[in-house]
Amino acid sequence: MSTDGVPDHEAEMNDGLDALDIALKTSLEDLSRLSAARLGLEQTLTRIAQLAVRAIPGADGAGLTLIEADRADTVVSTDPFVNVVDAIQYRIGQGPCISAAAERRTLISNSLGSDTRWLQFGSQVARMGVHSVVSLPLLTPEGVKGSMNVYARAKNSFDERAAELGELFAEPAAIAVENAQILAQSQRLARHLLDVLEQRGMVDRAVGIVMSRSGGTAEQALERLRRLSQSEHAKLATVATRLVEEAVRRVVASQGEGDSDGLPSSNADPL
Amino acid sequence: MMMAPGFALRRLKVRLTDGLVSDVQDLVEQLDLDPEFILAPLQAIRDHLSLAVSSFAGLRLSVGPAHHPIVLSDFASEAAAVAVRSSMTVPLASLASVPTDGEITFYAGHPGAFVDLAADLRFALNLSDETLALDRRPTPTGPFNAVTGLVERSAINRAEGILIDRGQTAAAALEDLYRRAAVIGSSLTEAAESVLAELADPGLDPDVDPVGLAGPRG
Repeated sequence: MSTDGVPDHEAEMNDGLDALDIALKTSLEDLSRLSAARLGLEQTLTRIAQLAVRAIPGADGAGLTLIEADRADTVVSTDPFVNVVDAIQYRIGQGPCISAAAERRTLISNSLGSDTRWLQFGSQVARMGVHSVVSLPLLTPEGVKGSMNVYARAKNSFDERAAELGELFAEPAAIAVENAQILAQSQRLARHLLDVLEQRGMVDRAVGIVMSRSGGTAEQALERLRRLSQSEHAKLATVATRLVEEAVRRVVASQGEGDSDGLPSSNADPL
Repeated sequence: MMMAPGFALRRLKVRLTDGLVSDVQDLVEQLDLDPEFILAPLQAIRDHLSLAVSSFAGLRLSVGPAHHPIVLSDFASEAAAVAVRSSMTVPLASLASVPTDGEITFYAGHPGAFVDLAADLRFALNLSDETLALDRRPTPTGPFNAVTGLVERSAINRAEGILIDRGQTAAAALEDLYRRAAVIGSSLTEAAESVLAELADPGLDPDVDPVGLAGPRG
């Protein structure tokens, strides 16, 4: 009997539960402190997978797979054997990860070698010494983003509690992926618009130069530049940029040769 | 092991409006670029947010200086735009590798529609409440499906080209335009248009090779 009146064997059980709860607690605390801004999406997902392995009793490794354009690709894993196991299922097109994503539900297997759901996959990974898995879909309002797979070498490693714990980590992983996609598309849109505006800016400056030299209208100047680009088999923006840069170089050179007009010689980027 | 059913896959593709598509086509036409260069990420954002935020109404992307930005507006409809009740604004500078002034604002029809997403994005980007702001932008005014500011930007850039040809550096040309605007009490665009108007238009001089090596007139 322990000193607080609790039977020793119960105290031992409590000690064991405390250890698991401590692992879960610290994993969840670390999860709450993750910031993708500092780590980036790949590192964030790796960290989530590592925390899940720490929190789920019996887990030996985990991986996160994203599905894009109907292709699945393991993007992060906590151990090399996870990459090998995931690669097997994507190569043969069957496995718990694929099923979890397709069925949009968590799946458990505690004896992959004899699991009739994935005979080919199970037999291959069992020969590798991997016998248990929890596969969790990464779900968002937009749909299935991928899946998280937690593996164990021992049989009968996972139960419903393991699945519940895994879902605690799959949700932030799905959110991280969705946020990253929204931000990535916003970045892409802004960068592409800036790229287009920069090119148009060069074309318009070149139009101004041609207008100044020839006295024609903007449309006439643009047409001259187009003809030049066609004759040189070069893009209009390329021809325009060259013209502007040559004009600017001429100005800078003339100022460097002692031109006394007093104009500043800043080389700040044009608008 | 069964879980509660997940979300149904809803590939809801809300078509971009013809007016916006036409503006984007005009934007890239001179440059031999595919309009999908702009339209594809725009459609992707709309797809993501239409599902993530049930009352998502549209977005407005503003790039460049505040006094003459280029603004791309994409709303599901004019009705959706005038019914906006919430917004979330993300500065472009907080998005990695977008080193420019500007912001992207997302709009929705329900109050508080972006609270959860804003919290997630602040966490993801390590931003303060002030930087990634909710409801900073009032109900948007039109046009709601267009790219605006291009005519003004063209005038400014063309005027810069004229001033460069007259012997100014690019930076000095822009400063000149600001000075003109201050002197005549006008906008930068009006100052640029005054430079353009100074050019006579006797028609093309066939003896002048404006794009060759002859250099500037006068």
